[in-house]
Amino acid sequence: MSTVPVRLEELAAGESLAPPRRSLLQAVLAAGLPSARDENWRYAYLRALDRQAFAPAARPGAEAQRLAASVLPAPLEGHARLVVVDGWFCPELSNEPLPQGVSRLAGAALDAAWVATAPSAAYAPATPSRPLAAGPASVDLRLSQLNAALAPEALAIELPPGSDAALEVVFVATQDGAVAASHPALRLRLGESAALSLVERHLGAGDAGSFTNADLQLEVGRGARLRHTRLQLLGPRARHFETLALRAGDGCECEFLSLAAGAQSARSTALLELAGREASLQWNAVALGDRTQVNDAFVRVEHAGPGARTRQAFRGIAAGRSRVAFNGHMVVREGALGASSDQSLKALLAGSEAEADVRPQLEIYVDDVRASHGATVGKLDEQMRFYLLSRGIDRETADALLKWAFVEDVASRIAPAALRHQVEDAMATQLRAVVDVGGIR
Amino acid sequence: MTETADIEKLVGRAYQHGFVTDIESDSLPPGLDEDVVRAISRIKGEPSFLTEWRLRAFRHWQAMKQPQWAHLRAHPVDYQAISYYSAPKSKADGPKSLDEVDPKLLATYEKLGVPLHERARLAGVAVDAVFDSVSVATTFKDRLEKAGVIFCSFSEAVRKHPALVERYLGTVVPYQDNFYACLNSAVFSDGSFVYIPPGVRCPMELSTYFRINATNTGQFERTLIVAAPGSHVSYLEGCTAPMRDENQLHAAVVELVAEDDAQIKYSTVQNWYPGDENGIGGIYNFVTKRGECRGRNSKISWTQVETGSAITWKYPSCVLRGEGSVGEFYSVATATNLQQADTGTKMIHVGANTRSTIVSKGISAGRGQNAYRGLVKILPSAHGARNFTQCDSLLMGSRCGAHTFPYVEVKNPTATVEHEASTSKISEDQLFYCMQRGISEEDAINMIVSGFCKSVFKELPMEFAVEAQNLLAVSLEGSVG
Repeated sequence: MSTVPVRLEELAAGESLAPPRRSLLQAVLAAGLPSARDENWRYAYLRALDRQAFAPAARPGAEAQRLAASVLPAPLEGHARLVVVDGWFCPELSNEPLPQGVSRLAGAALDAAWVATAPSAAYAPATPSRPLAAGPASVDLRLSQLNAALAPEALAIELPPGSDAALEVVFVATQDGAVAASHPALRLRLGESAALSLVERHLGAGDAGSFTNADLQLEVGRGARLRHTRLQLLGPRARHFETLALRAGDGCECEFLSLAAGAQSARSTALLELAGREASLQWNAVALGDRTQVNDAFVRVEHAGPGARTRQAFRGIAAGRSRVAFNGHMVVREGALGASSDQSLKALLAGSEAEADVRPQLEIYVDDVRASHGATVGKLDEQMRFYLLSRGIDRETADALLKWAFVEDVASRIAPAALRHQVEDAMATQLRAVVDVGGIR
Repeated sequence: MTETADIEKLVGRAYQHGFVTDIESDSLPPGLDEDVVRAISRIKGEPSFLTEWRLRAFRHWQAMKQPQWAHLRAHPVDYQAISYYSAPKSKADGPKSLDEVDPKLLATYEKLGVPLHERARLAGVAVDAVFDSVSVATTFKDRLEKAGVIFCSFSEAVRKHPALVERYLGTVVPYQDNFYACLNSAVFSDGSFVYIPPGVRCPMELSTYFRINATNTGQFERTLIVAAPGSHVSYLEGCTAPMRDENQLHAAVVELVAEDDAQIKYSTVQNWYPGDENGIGGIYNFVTKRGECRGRNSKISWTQVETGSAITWKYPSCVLRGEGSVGEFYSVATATNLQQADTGTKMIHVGANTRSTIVSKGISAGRGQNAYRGLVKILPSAHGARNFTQCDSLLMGSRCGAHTFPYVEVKNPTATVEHEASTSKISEDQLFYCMQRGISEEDAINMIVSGFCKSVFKELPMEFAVEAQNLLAVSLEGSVG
């Protein structure tokens, strides 16, 4: 069991939290925070959890808002913007009036709506006595519970059946993690046959090492379509944790695209359940690591309904002394007949002391299934490099081009084009591309 | 299509090797403490270094916890209810030749088809047979002695070659390694010892047949194989066990050491009693197998066919330390009825230009749970390391499970690691094609399963390949989902 930062225990013991939040926090502390001994956390940088102040940051003042405003990217056409600074929704920086279906929850309303319904069962790891027939081990929601206990407010999005929307949610962290933490929370409910394009950005303002523990819970109704693009471009000293939980109904189509290039250490946990019949999921992820960054992603997809389909693609580049890790855990439950699943995980090592870890896992309890995965870890292809060099391209440019190509098959799926261009610019910076990105496009 | 009832009938057929030979055995009472450890060591007349080593292991074990990470459901083992030593009575004087061996014992081997005398000669196999815990007969000593090969029981090696044992014991699997290896280090009863001197190619396949017999006796075998520079050996291990009701623990440790340019090929056909169709009884097979390629260009190859045991927990591994060394792992594991298998390998690349290959085929039928768990780790020193892994699972029946838990950890940018896996049921198209050509469904499934496992079977020595094919056919006939 890991050592629990004292400040978290103080929070659990003190009077600053409402009773339901306090008992939730106590449940997390009883289970212990994730440690490197937990199989699903072995590649994450968990010292990030030590010495952090977990106390939620205060509502951002004018200075924090000014800092946040300075890092906001150009608006995306067709997308209404919602800005959350240090876990607090900022109407001043967001679209006015609020788009239909969007509301902020705080105080007693939040406690009643979300804290009370937060998963309260204490996390129990697998034991030999646990019957296998009962299905996979209980899902580790400790950081999600931590968020529910500490988030000052939550952004709630509820789209009515048949509606169509495009939203951009920008989470900005301005506080020093040694002083206060950011606990942004988002709850989304997509009605039947609704369609949503959701862009989620994580940005850092100022050079303080922020600490974020974000939590997103998405419920996608029958026949709804969700396209979710997540861009994590935090500052070089930030520490970032995020949990995304999805429950998808009959015939849903969900497409996720995640780019993680920022932060000193980042861990994203995705727990995706295809509960309905014929639901489909695509999970595309790109992770870029440099210097001493640690970027760990854990994606658990569970097929509970028949006919579910999942495609996962991961492209990671570890340069410098960084570590890039991806755990893709696929579970097909009893009764999820006709499941199909495909994982393609590729990592590239571009630094002499870099590390790449991939873990494509399959846990299958039904025979009518077609599941496959492929994983590779390697270096840049010498023959491709030679080809470029023989064409008179210098080595740095050749390497940048090859790295670009390595992630491009996933990155090229980003839509709309304006967003893709923004992402490509960010990637170019990270890949130290000396070539003109416009030229590559 | 075959009906579920047929599948259950065929999969659930009685264990063909189920019988118990009634031989008086001389056992320690159940229970485990330092006195038991000392008693085992005393009975075997061991030198003090070994007694001390056992005691250190036992003290360490007391502080350890049973591992819980495997994808297994097991009844807790009561380590105090096990008798830690059992030897056939006839050991009083020790058999001088096969004629002195208890005829019942020989009859047991006869039933199992162990090629002990005539058959051993025909098969060209030297057998160091382990009946419960003490070796009772060894053949082909002369031919091996001429070549300078030491192939004897572990106890004999401790008596005759204590320096070799002391030098190598616990250097690949230290007693602190894991819960079961630690327990084995404290209480191991016997096993096999092989030493191949420099430059020698072992003149024959070496083989040991293990067999559990006395009720309530866990078996704690310890095998140590050392291949000196430039030597070559192929070692075969096969297991069958008689039918009984209570769970039995089998916690063996196998250590392999390959020096410069040496090669070790270790093949296993494991057919311990798997329990009945309700999961009652059956062997708990918690084995630690590890080989270390210490020298340049050395090679260790593991091949296993796992059809038995209620629970298999086994990860034959290679530590590739020597430059240019090679590790291989070929496995077929089946789980039918309520069997559970959590098996795989670890390839730890330490040296430069090391290469490893993993081919794992898992077959799940009935309510069996079959998991592949493997680690490929490339350390920063392993320049130019290369790994290829393929693990495929075949599902037969709607209530079984097939799981894959690979770990790929790479810390050297010049390494290349590839992993691919697939999970599916027997293709109905293939089945249809065969049946439409007049092949019965039974035969068609056998053909398809054989084809599925072919890349592993071809790695087995020939006489083992035949046995493995038969075992697989018996345990899986008629299973299709």
